[in-house]
Amino acid sequence: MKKFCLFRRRAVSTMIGGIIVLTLLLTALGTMVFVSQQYDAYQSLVSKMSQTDINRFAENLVAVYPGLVGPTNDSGTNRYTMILNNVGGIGTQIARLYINSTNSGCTSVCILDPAPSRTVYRFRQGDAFINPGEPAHNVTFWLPSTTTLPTDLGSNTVWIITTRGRIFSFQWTLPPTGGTTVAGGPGSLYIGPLVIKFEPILITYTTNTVSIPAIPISSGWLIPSHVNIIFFIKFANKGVNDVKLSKASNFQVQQFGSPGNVVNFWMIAPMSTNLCQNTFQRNPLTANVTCASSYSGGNTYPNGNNLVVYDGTKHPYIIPKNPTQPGVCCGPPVYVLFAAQDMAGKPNQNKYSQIPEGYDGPLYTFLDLTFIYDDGTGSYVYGVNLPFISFCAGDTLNNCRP
Amino acid sequence: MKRKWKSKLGVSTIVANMLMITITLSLAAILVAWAGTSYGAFTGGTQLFFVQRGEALQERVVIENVFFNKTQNLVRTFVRNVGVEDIKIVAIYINGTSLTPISGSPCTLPKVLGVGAVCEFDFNRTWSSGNIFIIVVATARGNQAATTARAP
Repeated sequence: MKKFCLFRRRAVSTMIGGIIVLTLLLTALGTMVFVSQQYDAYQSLVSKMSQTDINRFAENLVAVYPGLVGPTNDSGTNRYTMILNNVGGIGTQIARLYINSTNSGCTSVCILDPAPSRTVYRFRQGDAFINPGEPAHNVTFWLPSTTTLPTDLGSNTVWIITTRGRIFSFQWTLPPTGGTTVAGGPGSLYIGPLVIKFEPILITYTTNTVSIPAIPISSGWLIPSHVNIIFFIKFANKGVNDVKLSKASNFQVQQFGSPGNVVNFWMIAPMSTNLCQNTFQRNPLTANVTCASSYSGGNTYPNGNNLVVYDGTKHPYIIPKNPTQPGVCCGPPVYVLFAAQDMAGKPNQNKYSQIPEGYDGPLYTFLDLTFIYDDGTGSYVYGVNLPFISFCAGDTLNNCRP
Repeated sequence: MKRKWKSKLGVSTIVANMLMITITLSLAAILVAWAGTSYGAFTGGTQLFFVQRGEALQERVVIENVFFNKTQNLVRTFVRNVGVEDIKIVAIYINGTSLTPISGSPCTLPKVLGVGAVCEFDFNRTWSSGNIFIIVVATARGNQAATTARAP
């Protein structure tokens, strides 16, 4: 049988032909499989890079008014803080900042790379990543003490480069924005050139334990009693000239159930620039308030009850007119602070008034304002008295309900 | 037995069969060799194509800023590698002309940029306010990044 199989010639050519064809087919199949694998690998790379591009175009950073805050002296450097909103749908990492100024400052462009700690021409590495949707993210950077960015409108261009290669830019200083923060219109009270708008951000306060004023304060204007308290009240100017408040301005509080029991909160020095810029100007509701320029020694910061007496010569309250259209409501608003037991120049200007302990209930107030204003016919000292607001003293509003 | 060996009947058939088998096997061997070589070349070429295309695909280069220096007639160009592969920048064109960075430029051409790296190329170029410059950065793998900058 074995012999028969080995030497039979039938179907030998078929077998040889089959082997040849099979060899060719297998070779072709191997090639096809190999090419398919290569193509699949390439396609997965295409998908990956497409996703990378999608991620890149999902980035979106927007500067929030005021854009940059500073400079603050930080161990011999000028420290600035940039405020950004990540309005994109993906976390974004800043790779570099470029700042170019038109006149002084960064005239030959400033290039800022990340650094773990304070270094001139660097920004803080820990601030580089911004979560998706994160509002008011702070990015701190340092410039030499000799490099101060000019504050003319739009005199600096800031470019933000992300690690995915997107480029965002804005011009600083930003023009003020912020709908409800503008005084005037319905709900406003006009006293000569001054405008007081009855809105949630009209009044706020700091105390021994509240260092940063809440914007706005709790509903119903709930005020604590028997604590050192500094009131912040917002004014704007619709006149043709600036208004200068004088020291006799006073915020007077009376007990609703006991008329005649009066507590005076006299005007004190303006708040510190730091507090104004970092708290009020960063909040969209109060972003357009104006800050007393370079008054680092002002009130409340970093302590909520850090009382500084009023000095109308060195640091007066100026409520500015509308800078572009004088006579049209309104100039940028100003928060005026009231806290002292006495008028400036009197011995108790450095002592706090307090809402009396034991009186947790409704209070009503008067606002005495004295100011100097030139309506075009010459400067004149005005004095006005306004029935102002009511608020509730105590821990809860229940004290003021029947 | 003598008669059997001396018989010439069937010899031509055997020779013919042997010849046919030899020729067929030779042709088959040639065919298999040719197919193998062709397929090998094809797979090799395909692999090279996809690898190169893949590397080129992973390149991402951006011109992140261009600054103009009037006093020195400089055009400062900042190029960043934001892809996932190292790139080699071989040429930079300004308005269609390939330029060489000045001697004091922080980076010169050709320049290999690692992933995430940025480099500044300074070019001597006379400019005046309002001039438009089309800047193209070319990589060794054939990719380009282009931007248009207006002189301040």
